[in-house]
Amino acid sequence: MLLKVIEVEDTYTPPKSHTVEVLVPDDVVHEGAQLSELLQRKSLVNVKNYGPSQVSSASFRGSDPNHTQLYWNGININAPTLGQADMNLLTTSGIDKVEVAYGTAGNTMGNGAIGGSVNLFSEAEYGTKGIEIGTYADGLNSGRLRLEANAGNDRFAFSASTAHFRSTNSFTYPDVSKQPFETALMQHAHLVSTNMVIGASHKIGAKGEITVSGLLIENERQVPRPINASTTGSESLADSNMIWAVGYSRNTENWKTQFISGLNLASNVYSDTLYKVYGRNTYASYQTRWINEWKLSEILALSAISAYHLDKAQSLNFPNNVMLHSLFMFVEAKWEISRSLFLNLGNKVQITDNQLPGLVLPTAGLVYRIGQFVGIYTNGARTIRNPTLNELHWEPGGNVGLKPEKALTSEAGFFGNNGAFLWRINGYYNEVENWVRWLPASGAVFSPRNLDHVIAKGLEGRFNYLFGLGKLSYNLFLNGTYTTSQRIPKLSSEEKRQLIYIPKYQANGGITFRHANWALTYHQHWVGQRFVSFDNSVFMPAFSVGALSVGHTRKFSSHSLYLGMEVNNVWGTQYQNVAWRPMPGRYVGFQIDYTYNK
Amino acid sequence: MKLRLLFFFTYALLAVACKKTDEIGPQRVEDGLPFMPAKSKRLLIGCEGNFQFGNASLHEYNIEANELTENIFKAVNNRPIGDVLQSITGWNDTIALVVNNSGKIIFIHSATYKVIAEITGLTSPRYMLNLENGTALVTDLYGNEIYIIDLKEIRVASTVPVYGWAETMVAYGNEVFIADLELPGIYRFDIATSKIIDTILLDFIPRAMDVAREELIVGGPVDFNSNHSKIIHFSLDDHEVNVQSELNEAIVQLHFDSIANSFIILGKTLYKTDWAHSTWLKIHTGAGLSRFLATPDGKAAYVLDAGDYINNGTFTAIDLSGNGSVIFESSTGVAPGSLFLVPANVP
Repeated sequence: MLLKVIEVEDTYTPPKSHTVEVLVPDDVVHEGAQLSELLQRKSLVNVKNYGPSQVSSASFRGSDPNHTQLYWNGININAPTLGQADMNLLTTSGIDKVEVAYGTAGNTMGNGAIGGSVNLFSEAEYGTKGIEIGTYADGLNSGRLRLEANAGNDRFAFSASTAHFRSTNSFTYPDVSKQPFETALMQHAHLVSTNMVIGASHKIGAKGEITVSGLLIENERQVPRPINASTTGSESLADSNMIWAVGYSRNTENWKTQFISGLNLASNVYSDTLYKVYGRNTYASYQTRWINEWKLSEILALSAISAYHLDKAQSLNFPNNVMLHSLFMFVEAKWEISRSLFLNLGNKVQITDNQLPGLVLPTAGLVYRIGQFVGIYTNGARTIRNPTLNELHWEPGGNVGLKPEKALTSEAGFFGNNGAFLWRINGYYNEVENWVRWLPASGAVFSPRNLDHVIAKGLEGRFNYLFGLGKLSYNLFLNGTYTTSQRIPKLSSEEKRQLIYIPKYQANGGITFRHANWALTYHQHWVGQRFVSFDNSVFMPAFSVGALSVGHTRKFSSHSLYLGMEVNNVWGTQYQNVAWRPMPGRYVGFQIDYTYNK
Repeated sequence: MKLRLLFFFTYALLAVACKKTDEIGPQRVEDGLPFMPAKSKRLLIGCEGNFQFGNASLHEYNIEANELTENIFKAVNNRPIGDVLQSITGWNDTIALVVNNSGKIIFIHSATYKVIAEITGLTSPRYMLNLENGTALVTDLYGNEIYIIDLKEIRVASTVPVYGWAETMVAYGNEVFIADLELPGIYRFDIATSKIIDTILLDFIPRAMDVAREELIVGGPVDFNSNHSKIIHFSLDDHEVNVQSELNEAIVQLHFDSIANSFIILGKTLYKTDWAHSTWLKIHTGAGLSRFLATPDGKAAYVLDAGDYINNGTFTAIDLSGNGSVIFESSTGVAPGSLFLVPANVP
């Protein structure tokens, strides 16, 4: 009798010395939701949200939002002008995986990830054919239509997805800027948004692959004035991004190489008809990234990353067209000293055309496994963030004399994984010199200055437990963090003060019960008190928001239908994430997804 | 074990879920009461009053409504400000009124205008600059020293000796440029060490200063009684004087408008001039122009005219994007001399 030959692939990977979370849409955050919602509900990233579908930023470990770098398929999609990305511009539609890389893990990608990076991946899958149609509507007068399709064989794969979202964001809120409080209706908060992701992959020979992918983001929205403003009405934002990435990769036994070249084209238009303010900027960011990894022996590997960026921008607030070249190189050796002890050592080089180069930016990490399921780890790195084009050239106030922010990131902790129970507890310590702050300069003009020395430190805990109990299966997760992020006073008489909008305490958690084709999920996230004035005399109170959802999936051979309902903000908490920007109370959303897979 | 874990997680979730949030908007740390927002788009106009009459006054101009509310300090606090309101500055929800001849600084709340605190016993304070490190500098006419104010304790923490009449200040990076009119010259004050690290000597009185394009621009009359002024552009890189110009009026204030790429300079007349000062365009005239403030977008300017410094002066808002046409005009108190644009939406 002939036995069937089975190929066994070695999937052993050494444990990592840094913190990376992998997030995917699930019962806690449904397919098609905004990226900010995914981060807020499932990670320890601090999400600052001006309202549903309004401008949103993300920061890690007590850092600034422009210390967070957002990548899609290896292309940095932060605006080189502002230095940050709006986490509400992107949805999870067409995104297969979201990696949230904290501290040292993020700053091996390129310039500026002092806090960390959010890495999005859209990949066409070989050998699948199918379509998915998703619809969603909720009590904020919002509706979303999502279409996804993929096709291909074992050599060629194609995928396309598009999501169209509209909302008036109508909800009532207590207007706390008036005494006594009045109930008011949120107005002038319309949003029309379209995201499209396409991708194609083709295998070349046995080891090579070429990929082409594109991401299109179109958003038009009204930004209502803060409720304490003396005038009503809104500002308008129109954002358009088109990102293309072409990649070639080749994997042999001892050498993995990947070359990515991409272009990020964007335009942002701002207008305020009442005050007759009009702003427009366009930018083009051309980027290449070449990643190599050599397996030098069974215990030693070497990786090298080089990346080049050319950013060009035009703005009504720039004196002329501005341009910035930057080069990033990273070399790292990974040494498996024993089956329990792993060491990685590396160095980064960062050069831009208007700043002194960062030639010695070392990184190091160590992991020690204690037994089969538990380990300890530590890491540290030096990194820099070069000033953004706005910080350098904005008129009025831009400061071409700004120096790069210099940072030390480090962390240490314990982790465990026995297949069902994953946990990680760690502390971190980050220090940033030359922290840029916009301050009043001449007259009422604000200008950025290398003013502050900031130390952020804290604790993080992550727990995820998956188990069955009778016919039920459960998935529990609980994340929490304690953060102090303080400016170091220049005078001994001055008190250390927490940076604004950095909560000392933040947590989220959820539990999903599954039985047959039913899933019941409860989720809660909690954000502690945050100061909103630099002198720490005014604070935003803590808030806690829960969500309850139920979903049912019916399968008919190749077809499946998902029906879901979610009660958002189930306890009806009235709160503001950003001062004078109300968030909605309780509202219900319905989702219907149809999937066909051949 | 599994059940125990399930109970633990469920309890933890419910514990955070059941935390009741009583407050919604910004709260004050000091008493936990709701922080009431500052009104937006306001300009404060300070009037010196008659010397030794103690009739300084503060007025509010609502930019959106084009309305002037007079004597707001007295209306709220039911007391006078004092003698000679020299300058106004502010940060977060605090506004500081520097009252020269009363030797004091009054701190008021930017939304309510109620007095928060007061520093007295200063010799003859002129201008105040917040260093954003918990302290502020205050210049003085006769004290021959600069005060370093502890903004938490609201007291003079220390002093820095200077030659004579210290006047206007401009912050730049980790330094502050401080004009000494009697020296005459400009001190470079290091914020980190609270020390004067250099002095730039001049052959004219440095009444007006601004920083633009890595250069310190200084203007002023050649002596205290002269109607002839000099302007220099002092490079902060190589310490060379790059541009030198003159004006047959006594310059009292200058501001670089980086959007229009031009200067607004106040002498007897309000002028707009280019970077090299090769052309001078008159944009506003008056009997005794004393102060102006250009908006950050460069579209408007507010100008004070103290007239004869004895009777009420005038306040004028002018359109800078056009030909300087008047948007609003109103009379004020006696000898208007200071302007402060209150930041909107504090915090």
